[in-house]
Amino acid sequence: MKKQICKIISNKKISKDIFLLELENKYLAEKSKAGQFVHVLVPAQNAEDKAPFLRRPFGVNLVDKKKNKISLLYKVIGSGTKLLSQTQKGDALDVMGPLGNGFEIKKAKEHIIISGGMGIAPLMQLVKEIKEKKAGKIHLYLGAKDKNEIVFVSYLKKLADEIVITTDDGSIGEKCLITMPAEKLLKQNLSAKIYACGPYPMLKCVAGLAKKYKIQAQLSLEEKMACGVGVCLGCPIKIKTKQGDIYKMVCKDGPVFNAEDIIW
Amino acid sequence: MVNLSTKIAGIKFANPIFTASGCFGHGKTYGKFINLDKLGAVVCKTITLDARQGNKPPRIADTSGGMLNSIGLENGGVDNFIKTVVPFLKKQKTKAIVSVAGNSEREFTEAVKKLNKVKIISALEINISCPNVVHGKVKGLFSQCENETAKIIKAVKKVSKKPIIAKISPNVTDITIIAKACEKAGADAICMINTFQAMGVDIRTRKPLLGNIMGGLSGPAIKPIALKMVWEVYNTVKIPIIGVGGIMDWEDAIEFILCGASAVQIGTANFVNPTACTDILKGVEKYFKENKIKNINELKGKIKL
Repeated sequence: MKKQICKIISNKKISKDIFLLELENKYLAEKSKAGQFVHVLVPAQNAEDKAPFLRRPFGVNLVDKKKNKISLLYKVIGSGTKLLSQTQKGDALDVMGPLGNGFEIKKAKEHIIISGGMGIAPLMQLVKEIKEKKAGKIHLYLGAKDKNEIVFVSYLKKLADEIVITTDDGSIGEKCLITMPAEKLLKQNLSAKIYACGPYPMLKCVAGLAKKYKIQAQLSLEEKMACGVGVCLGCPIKIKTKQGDIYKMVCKDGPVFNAEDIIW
Repeated sequence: MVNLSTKIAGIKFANPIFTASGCFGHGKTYGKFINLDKLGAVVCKTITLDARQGNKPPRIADTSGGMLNSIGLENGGVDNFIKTVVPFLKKQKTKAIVSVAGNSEREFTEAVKKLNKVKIISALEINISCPNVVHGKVKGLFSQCENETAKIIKAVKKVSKKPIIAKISPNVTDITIIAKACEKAGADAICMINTFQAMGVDIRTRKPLLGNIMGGLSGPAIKPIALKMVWEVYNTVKIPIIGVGGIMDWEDAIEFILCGASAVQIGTANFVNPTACTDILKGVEKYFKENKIKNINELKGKIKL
């Protein structure tokens, strides 16, 4: 992990409130893997901007080792992401990373990847790495509020063996929670691995399904952070260990945890 | 070479740039970003006699010009510290100061007795001002009460073989009263200030931003208040002051020295900029050079009034 000033190659709006930001940096491209994140100091653009004081964590969306670039996929929610969306090609961005543990990819017959909303951001690199490693069949389950949050489908179709989409409003795919079609697949008694990223209620449901069908699941969590490197102890998650239940840090020990270890 | 050395409680530190407890771990992680040997001292994250789990999340919130925290002194306890952290500290050239907290006089003195045996520790910082934990039977914080402050400092001073630095809270009517109580009780130095008790609310969920409801405010927002308090205490006590509170750059550090600080601690700035400590050191060194300052005493408390 390093703190570097990276050049923005592009920062484009790809859907309603959703942006893709590409950074040029050899070190980050070489070192980053699926599930890791970078800690970004979002700059103020104008004097009246309410720039965040602390850095903001963003999951690494895609890594391009050949072109020495990584991308971040984010939705404009608060003042930090709003200001980030205003940065432009050629601007410099202060970035710490890569941080966190990332996903562990092991060979399995089936890989079931479940995304909720912007949870797709770190899962895209995961899909890419599973495909590159030829680690098994990929089933991608994309859940979202509406069709605006379902992005990069044509890209993902090239990598995944199956894509299932659901939305809260039915504007694309079935109108239901993404965990419902996912359970239909899990019922088939597969030799599989589960990976998920998304809102807490979805992750909790995925953890329940993983337990019910006895399948290992890796969940990528989020929590408010300050340092991003395990120093401030500001982002705890309660984890079961042999020594009893203890707090681990989402930034350093995670953000990816085994579903069965998490105390909800 | 510029002489940046500073003397506190009989100890000569290479320079006045220290880390603030809780904001630097014990240095291992930030040692990957900066050369720890350059620092005047590393002040380790507060330890308590027994391990503590800390407060429930969220523990962090962003706020204008700073941050809120309610970590709650999560730590592995003093024995674990001696076993797992001290070997790392032994390998460092930088001086180590260890921050200690407790829920009672006994918890403070028991922890101090155990640390007496650790040679590598230069001094102990007695944290009687954490806003995120219960302070025994006291309604607020130990260092909000003159008598409790005196009682704990006296007790640790009695058993400690190392110099004692009292870390005090700004959440008081008159901080000079508490500082005087520390001096009278035998403290070798005062570290000031800890965070301001504060809170924030998410207007969408209408929930507090912190799991513990209230926490401590740190960062540049508190710097002017910290400076004012350092200046007041400098004019009240004779023991050295270590200034801390929202220092983000070298200019801030010089301000604290001008207000009477013998050294400064860098806290929250590390979270934003992991190279903050050495960046500040470089700036301070340049300022000393350019202004031909031969000794920190030429600057300490020398505001032109």
